[in-house]
Amino acid sequence: MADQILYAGRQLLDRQIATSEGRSVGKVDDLEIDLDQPGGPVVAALLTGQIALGARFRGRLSVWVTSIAQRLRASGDLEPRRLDIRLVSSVAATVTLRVPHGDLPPADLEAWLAEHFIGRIPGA
Amino acid sequence: MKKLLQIALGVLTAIGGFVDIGDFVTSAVVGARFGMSLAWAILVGTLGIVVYAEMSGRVAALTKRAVFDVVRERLGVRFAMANLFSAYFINLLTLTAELAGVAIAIELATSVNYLLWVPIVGLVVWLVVWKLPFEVMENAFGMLGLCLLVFIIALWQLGPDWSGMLDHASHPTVPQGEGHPTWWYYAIGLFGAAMTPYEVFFFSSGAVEERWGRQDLITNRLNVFVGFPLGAAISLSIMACSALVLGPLHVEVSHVSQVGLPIALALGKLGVAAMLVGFFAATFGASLETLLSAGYTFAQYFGWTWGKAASRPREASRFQTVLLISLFAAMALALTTIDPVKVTEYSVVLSAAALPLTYFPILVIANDRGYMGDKANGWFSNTIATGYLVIIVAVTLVTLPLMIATKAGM
Amino acid sequence: MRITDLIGKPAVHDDGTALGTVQDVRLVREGPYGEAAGLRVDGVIVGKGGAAVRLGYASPDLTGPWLLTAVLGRRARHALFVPWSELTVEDERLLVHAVRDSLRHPREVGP
Repeated sequence: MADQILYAGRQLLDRQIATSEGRSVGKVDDLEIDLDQPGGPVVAALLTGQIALGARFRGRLSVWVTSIAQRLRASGDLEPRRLDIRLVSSVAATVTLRVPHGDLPPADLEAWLAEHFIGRIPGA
Repeated sequence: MKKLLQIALGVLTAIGGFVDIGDFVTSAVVGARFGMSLAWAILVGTLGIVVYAEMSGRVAALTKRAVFDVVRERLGVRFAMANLFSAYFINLLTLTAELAGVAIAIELATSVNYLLWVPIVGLVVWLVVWKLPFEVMENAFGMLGLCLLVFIIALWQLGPDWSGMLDHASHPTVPQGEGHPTWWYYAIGLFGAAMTPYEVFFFSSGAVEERWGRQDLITNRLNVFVGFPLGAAISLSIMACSALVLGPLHVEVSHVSQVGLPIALALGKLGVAAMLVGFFAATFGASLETLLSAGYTFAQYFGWTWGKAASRPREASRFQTVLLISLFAAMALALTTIDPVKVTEYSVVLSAAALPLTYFPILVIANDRGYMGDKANGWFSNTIATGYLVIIVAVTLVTLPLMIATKAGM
Repeated sequence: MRITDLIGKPAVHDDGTALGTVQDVRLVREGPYGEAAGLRVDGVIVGKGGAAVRLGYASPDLTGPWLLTAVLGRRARHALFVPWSELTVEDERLLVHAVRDSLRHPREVGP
């Protein structure tokens, strides 16, 4: 019974997320709670990235952290990067996912920089 | 040979962290001005970094996570972000000084003004970080830096009164004509030069890069118990050489070239050449360490891919971008002809003041049985580690007032 | 709703007495990872030792060093578990309906 209890703040929040291959995905910047489930509220997804993180700050810092990512979103969709809870395979010092990197929605800033900047340097 | 190379990480960290331009000059300045009366500060700092690095290496081996990675989960996003900015700022200052240091080493060998070398040094540093495998970097610069052991040889050659020196070092007294606050200010400087956070960021990140696991805990200890004391031995001999030669001449050490005077006296041109190679390797190593640490702190706070875990640089684009921006900022700062010696003095004192922020969470995690299992701190290491927590908090409280009171060591 | 909408919020009883701030949210995993539709929110932990809890001193895993467990352990010790059914989440705070005396330390209350 005891090992099925999980403390969201202490064991999930701000943990590193890694793919099944061990690649970094980001941190657990927040957790999405679904209030409409029949059995009671559940944590439905991990939220990661600057949009999710920015919401945890106040004032100018919040704007500063989120604005970069928001500007890179072509669609103007301001939802944070979402990883469904069913993708999680284990929770320890790191939160490990069941899938490899290619199966996940990409991180905006990383993709943009890879394409427009770092990716253009020889040897990248 | 393989066993020997396993301690390369520790040696490089120590050489780059310990005998970078900061310690190099600070040890010489202090030796000339205060004799061996502040030798104890180096020893206290060395034990401190040994404890600190051992804990972070152990945490890295068992959790596969580096220092700044765990800082955020224990300190909370806001506090950790303040931590990030202060760590990054100090890193940048240090990087500036180290780049200038490498350029100065080349100037001493070529007589071409160091400012002209700064952009070239920046480019080469970046190329090394961009393409050179971590292990090659470790081994090459770590081992070359050992050339600085020439200071120990020079000390031997100078034939000092060993018992007198030992006596002076073990009964520290503030020399005539110097104020107590100034003496303590330099003590903090030496302590901070030994216990700089970027050494630990680098060491723990290196441990993660090398995929240390449970079986590497002994390697961790070897690295730490060999590497840092080696750095301390070099620092102490620089101080002693300086005390012996520069002190009586009342030389006010303000340039790197003066540090080499005792070597020239004792060992001639060959000694100076060895010193230059060692100094070049140490400052180059320090440039690599501080540059990478600047990237590590950002990447580990936000959870980005960093280092060689990305099979190609473009897979860690945010990390690489931070590196490039930091390098440009540091080069620009160095090219303003800012005095690198003064910059390191400030960065060394500031990092001493910022120590608790990163030391504290590591101490806590090293005690967390959920993470460390049976390898959590025992009562003996905890006693020493807690003692150091008290020391570094005391240092933090005292640094800024001292800095103002002594006008930064005048 | 997000978990950070809960953690850090002040918790007050219906009659206005302050109970502390939400330190953490307790979840229950029903079924193995990968298949579970979600981690069920069991309730919240309310108390006063925010930093101490985040550092880990509310957990039995953290046994040292002595100086820190003495100072921070004490702060983390006064925690109350409030089941989700007894809560109403408002914009700036959480309203607790259960009687104060019926609330226990999280260790004493199973999911």
